[in-house]
Amino acid sequence: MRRMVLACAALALVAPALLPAQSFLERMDVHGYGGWSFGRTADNKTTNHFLFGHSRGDYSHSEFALNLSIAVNDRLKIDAQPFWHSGHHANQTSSGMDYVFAEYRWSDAFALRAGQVKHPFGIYTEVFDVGTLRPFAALPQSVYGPTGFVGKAYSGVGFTGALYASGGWGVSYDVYGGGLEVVERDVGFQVLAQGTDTTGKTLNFAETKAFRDVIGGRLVMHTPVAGMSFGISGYTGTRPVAPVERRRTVYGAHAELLTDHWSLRGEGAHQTAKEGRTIAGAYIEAAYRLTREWQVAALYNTLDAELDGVSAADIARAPSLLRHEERGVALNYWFTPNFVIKASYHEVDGNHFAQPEPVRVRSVVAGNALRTRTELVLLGAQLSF
Amino acid sequence: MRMHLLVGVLLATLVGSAAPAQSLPFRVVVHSDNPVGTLTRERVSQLFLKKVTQWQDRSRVVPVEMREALSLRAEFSRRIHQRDVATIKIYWQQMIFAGRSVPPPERASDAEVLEFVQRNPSAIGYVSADATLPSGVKVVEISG
Repeated sequence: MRRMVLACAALALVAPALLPAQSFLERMDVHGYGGWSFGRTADNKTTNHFLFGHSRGDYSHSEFALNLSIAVNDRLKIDAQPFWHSGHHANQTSSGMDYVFAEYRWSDAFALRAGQVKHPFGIYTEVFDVGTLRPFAALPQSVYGPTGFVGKAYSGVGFTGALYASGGWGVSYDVYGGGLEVVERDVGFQVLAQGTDTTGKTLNFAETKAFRDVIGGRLVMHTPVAGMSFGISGYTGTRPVAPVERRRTVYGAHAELLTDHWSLRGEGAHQTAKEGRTIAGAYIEAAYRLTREWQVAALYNTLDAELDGVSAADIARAPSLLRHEERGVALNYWFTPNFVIKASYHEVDGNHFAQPEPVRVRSVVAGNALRTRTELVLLGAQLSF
Repeated sequence: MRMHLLVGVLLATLVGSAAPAQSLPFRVVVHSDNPVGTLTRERVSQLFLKKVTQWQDRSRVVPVEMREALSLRAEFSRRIHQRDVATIKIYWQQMIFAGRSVPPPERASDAEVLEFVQRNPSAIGYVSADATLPSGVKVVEISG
C-alpha cells in the first residue's frame, strides 16, 4: 500500500512538472476497471474451494483499478495502474501497483520500456484482471491460474515494437530482462512431498515467488485474416533457494481469432524447473455473440504436473493434486462493451486448483476424503471505462 | 444464360472494387500541408487504430474520431476497419489496459473534426461526404 501511494505521489508530482497545467490535463488519459463475483460449489458436501467459490458461497470477491497514461511528449509516456482487491482468499483486502513504467518510442518498430512493466506472455497477461476483455469471469486457470507460468509485471527494461506490411501481415515483439514475481499454488506439491504430518507446517493457498536475472520475449504474427494472430512466448530466470540457484524456464504458444461475433482463443504453456517439477497447461475458449447483448461461451482447461523425487507410493495418496481438467459454459449479458453480467458453470476433475482450505488439505488427504470432482457456479458483474 | 449471369457478376464485382471511394458516405481529410494524397483502406485503418503512428516524414499521426453514437462512426468502422464499433471498442480496451495506446480524441460533428484537422498539421479525420471543407483541409483518396 505504501509503495502504491509513493508511486502515485511521484507520478502526480513529476508529470505536471514536465508539462504546463492545461497541457497536462489534455495529455492524461484516465481509465479503469472493476468487478464483483459470487461463487458457490454446487454440492454442499464438497469441501473444495475453486476460483471465487466454496460450498457456503462467497460474495466477497471484488476489485477495482485505475489506469493512468500520461503522454509527456510525442515520444515519452508514463503509465501506472494502482489496484484495490478484496476477497476471501486474499485475507479480505489488498492493494498495490500493477505496473508503473515509462515508454520512450523512437518509431513504431522500436520503443524502450522501463519500470514495472506488464508481463508480455501469451494472450491475457497484459490485461490480467480486466473482465470486459474475456468471456468468463475468471481467466483460464491452466495457464493464468497460480501455476507459476506468468507474472503480472516484470521489473526491469524491455523493448517492444510492431511492423505492419501491406496485405494485412504484421509482427509485434517484446524482449525484456529483469525480475519477475509469479504466484503459485504449492499446497498439493507440499502435501505429496512432505506427507500428511501437520505439525509445525503452514500451507497457503498461493505463494509469490521472485525470479531474478529473467530474460524473456514474445513474438506475435498478425495475419491478413482480420483478428487472427499467432504467438509464442517464453522466459527463463533463477530463484535463490539456499544453497542453490534454481532455474525455471517457461514457454508457450497461442492462437486467437476475434471477429464481431466470435472470439476463439487457444493457448498452451510448459514449465520446467529445477525444483523437481514439470507443469504443462492448455486451454481452448470459444465465445459467440448471439445478439449485441447476449453471448454464450465454452471453455476447456487442462493441466498436468509431475513431481520428481517423490515416491510413487506418496503420489498415489492423492494423484489428483497434480491434475486439473475443467469444462465450463457461460451466459453473458453485455449492457455495453464496458459493462457485463456473467453467469457460468464449471465442472472440475482434479485437485490442483480445486481443493480444501490449506489448513485442511493434509487431514483430508490423510483421511482419504479428498473429493476429486468439483462443480462451481459463478455470477459476476464486470466493468471498465 | 449462365454465361451472361457470370459476366454480370464479374462486372458487378469489378465495378464494385474499382470505385469504392465514390460510394463511401464519408471523406478522409488531412491538413493541406500533408503531402499524402492517397491511402489504402488498410493503411487508413492502421492510422486510426494507431498501429502506424508516423507519417512518412516521421511526424506523429494524430487521428481524430467521431463520437461513438454518430452513424458516420459506424459507417467508417464498417467500411474501413471492417468491424463493428463495439469490436473496435474492445480493441481499444485491450490497448489501454495493456499500456500500449489510447484511443483518438472524439469530436461531435463535421465542423469540430474539420477545425481539429485545420489546426493540426499531423491530423487525420473523416467527415460526411457532403461536408464543406474549409481552407487548410484536403481530402485523401482511398484506394484498394
